[in-house]
Amino acid sequence: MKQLILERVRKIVSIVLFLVGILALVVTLSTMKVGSFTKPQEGFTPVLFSILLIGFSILNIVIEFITPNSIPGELKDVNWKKFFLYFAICIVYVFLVKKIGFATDTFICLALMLKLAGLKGWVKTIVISLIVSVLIWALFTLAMGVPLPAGILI
Amino acid sequence: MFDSLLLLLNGFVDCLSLMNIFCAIVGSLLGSLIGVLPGLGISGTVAILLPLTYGMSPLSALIMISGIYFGSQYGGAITSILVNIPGEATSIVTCFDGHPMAREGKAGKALCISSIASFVGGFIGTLGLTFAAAALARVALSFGKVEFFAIVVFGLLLLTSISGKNQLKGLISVALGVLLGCVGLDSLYGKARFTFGIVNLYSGIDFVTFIMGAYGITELLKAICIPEEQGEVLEFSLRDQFPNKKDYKECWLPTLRASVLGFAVGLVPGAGSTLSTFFAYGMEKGLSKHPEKFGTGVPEGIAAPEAANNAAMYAGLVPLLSLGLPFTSSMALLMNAFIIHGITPGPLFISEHPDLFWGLIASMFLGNIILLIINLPFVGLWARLLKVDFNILMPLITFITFAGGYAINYSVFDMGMMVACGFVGFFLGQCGYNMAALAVGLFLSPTFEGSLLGTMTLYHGDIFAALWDRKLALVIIILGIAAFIFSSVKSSRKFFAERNAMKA
Amino acid sequence: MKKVLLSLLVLLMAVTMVFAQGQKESGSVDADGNWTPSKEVSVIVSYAAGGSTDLLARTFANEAASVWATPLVINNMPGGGNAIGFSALRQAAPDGLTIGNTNSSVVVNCLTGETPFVYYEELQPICQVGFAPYIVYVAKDSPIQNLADLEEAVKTRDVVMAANNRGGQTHWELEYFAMKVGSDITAVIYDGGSASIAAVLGGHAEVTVQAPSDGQEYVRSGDLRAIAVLDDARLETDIYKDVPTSVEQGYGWLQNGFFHGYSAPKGIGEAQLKYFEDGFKKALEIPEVREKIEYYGFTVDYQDAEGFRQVWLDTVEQYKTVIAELGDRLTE
Repeated sequence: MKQLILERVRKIVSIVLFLVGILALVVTLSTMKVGSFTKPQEGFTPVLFSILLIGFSILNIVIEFITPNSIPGELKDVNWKKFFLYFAICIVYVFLVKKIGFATDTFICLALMLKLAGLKGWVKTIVISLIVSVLIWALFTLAMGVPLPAGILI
Repeated sequence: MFDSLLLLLNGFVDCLSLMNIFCAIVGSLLGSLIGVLPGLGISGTVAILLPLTYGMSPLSALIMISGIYFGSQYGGAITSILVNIPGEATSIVTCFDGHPMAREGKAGKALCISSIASFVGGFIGTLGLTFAAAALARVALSFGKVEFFAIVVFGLLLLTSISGKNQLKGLISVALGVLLGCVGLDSLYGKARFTFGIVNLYSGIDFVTFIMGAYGITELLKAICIPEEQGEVLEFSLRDQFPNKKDYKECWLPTLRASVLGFAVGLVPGAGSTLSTFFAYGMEKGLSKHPEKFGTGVPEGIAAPEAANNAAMYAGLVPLLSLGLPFTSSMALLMNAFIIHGITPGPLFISEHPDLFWGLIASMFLGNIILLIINLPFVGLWARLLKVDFNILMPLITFITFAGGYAINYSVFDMGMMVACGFVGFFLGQCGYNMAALAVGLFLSPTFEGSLLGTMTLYHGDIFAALWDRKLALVIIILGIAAFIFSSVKSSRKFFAERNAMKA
Repeated sequence: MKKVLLSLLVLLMAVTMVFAQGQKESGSVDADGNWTPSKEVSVIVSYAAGGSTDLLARTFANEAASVWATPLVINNMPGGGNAIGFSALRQAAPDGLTIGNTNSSVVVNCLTGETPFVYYEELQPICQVGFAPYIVYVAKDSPIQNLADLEEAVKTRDVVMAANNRGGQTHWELEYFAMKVGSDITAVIYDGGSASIAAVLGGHAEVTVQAPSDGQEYVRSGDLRAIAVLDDARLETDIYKDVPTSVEQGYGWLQNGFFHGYSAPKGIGEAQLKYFEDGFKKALEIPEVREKIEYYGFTVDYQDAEGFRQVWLDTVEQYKTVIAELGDRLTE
């Protein structure tokens, strides 16, 4: 079952890449001037490479679909629940960073990630993420002069 | 030759003051630090430091600032080896063998090899600069649009051959990378491409942002979500943290070869130091008795690219010091440091300011030794970092990366871009696409486009005529295609052999 | 224990609130309406560090540091033929903490290429500080000695020129020249002045048009020869004083130069605008600053905000005429 999902992911990705090529080609042709071989314009390189991408992708799709099973060890088992959870934390993190400030946001999201990763004990989690978030903040703002985003808090 | 030595000796006398040595140490330390911290590029740090150097003598200021450059090159390898996140384009290749070696519990050894190789590369690079800067400047100038086009194509083809198992997926990655590099306002025409009306996209996808997402965030997701990737760092023994006799024996020749090659390729203005790492790695893989082991943590695989990129960095100074032409933004900043101190580098710089030129060269020899001395003691410390559980370590690193991603352009949009690149990078990486080729495609996209379109304008659209006219370019392209075909045939044979084996 | 923790937390929050508040204020205005910035002012320079534009901006930040209440910090944002820097300037808050360098591209790029917005309409000029003519350079071993030779060469063979960006100022003069003398020239675009000069030095291109400061070291060393100053008056510096103008050579219709000035995002307050107008004016009185400006081939020429806007509008008129004549030649 797990192997089946991974097989499917592999095939879907090959098709998505083909579609990206098509999209790039359509956008290029509809928004840019391509020019000619003697007088190339800004759309020349994008057209060339979207055609290359489409061509390679077609070949790739064929290979991905005729290969019955991937070589063992190439596709690794993924814990999808964790994957989407971490990915969601990253998105929320970026979304909140300007609103509540870098240090606070980092503290919250880091604590969450550490806890999910299986770090035992709340006190330990909080202490680690507090120290780390303050350290990063201090290193970048105070030592390197980078004004990290600040919201209602820092 | 003898004159040069005498002048160099004078240079040593000039640069061996307490103040200058102090400046070299501060510069090297800072450089190593920003090399390790993502997002804090050379430019930002030098810009902060420049005002502090007003009170210094020009030589001290230059010593400090060049210390930052070379230090960052050392530091860049550290993150590549430890956590598989290259801080800049020149350390992408270091990941290929550096990280697998660290995963075997030999992080210290990998770091030592990289430091020593960097030292040798830097030393040979400085030697090249000492004896041939003026003559080599003309070599750098002989590179026209056609040669650029050829060497970039060679580099990209070689990269798909030396890394990753599937050449076709490598080519797809390169094409996608070049397309991603087209996003934003292009540097030739000033037209908006693939921006979809989003103003933040006008400045394009920053290479470092991409790397932090597609390597940094992806590593986080991999470490956490793929059970097989966990607990892979084998036991940590102190004996394995330093290179042994066998490593030295395996590495000395590749390091020397790669340094010379790196210096030569580094003369290619602009993209030279990045390209030099592929060429050095490709050369060693080609010459090796066990090419199939490359990518699993062989010492030559770390030594060669590190020696090459350090030697190349010194070669990159040739056009600046002997002609006053900075071809990369970091070289432009170094030029700024000269100008702020009242010296405009140009063709007359070496003859009008010999004291400064030779003092600077002498300081590079000195700086190299300082870098080795301050980097080696940290090796054990860095290596110990990997004893921390990856489930804990990776989130910590991720948030440092976020801060770094913001620091490039002070942009929250870039942080979002990082997450997006991480998501895409995870799937592409899992399905066997070549992330190094994708990243390098993105990085070289503007160079490639500029040289391709320039060639076509010059030769009225006839690329073959252009290549025929410029024989060096023709040779380079043929070499690239040959290398590509050779390794495609080899890998497709392997592919069918494995497929048949599985059927049976 | 809990109480202590709680009060600590409240204190921490209070401190951070104050901190966050403090960062939002851009500066203060005193009773006479004089504005003082609260922190350093960022100057967006839409060129890479090391070029003439950048160096001049740095002159105002460093040599004229005494006239500013808080330091000017140069922020290089190269790329997209100034579009990236100018876009960033327009997007910046008009609070006086961000200004930008605006040279002639503020007009030229809008007329010759596609830009994300019309720069000269959507930015607020602060002042012009200097003006410089462009100079035509050839390699030292080129047979071309003057514009008449160049005309002859363009008419009889394929001449390759190196330009810094398509449709930009270093591109159109020679296209215009070739058109006016009834011929054609091959323009190859290089990424900036350094690369264009390298192309001429390396023999990949024969002629290039550059700013006086970008070419001067190579003229001094004899690697490049300046054949014409595209203006009606010669430059006064030692290096260029013997280079004849295009007017002297009978090509009076080929004149082009560029200005160096500063602008702000639209909507900047009167007090802030005055702070910068006065600051730059005062900076121009400092001998070291004047010296540097002249060293880079500029003539000191101060115009206040309104005067600078008039310069923009005049340039628009001049260019519209030239560009209408050039037609497709610039984009193809």
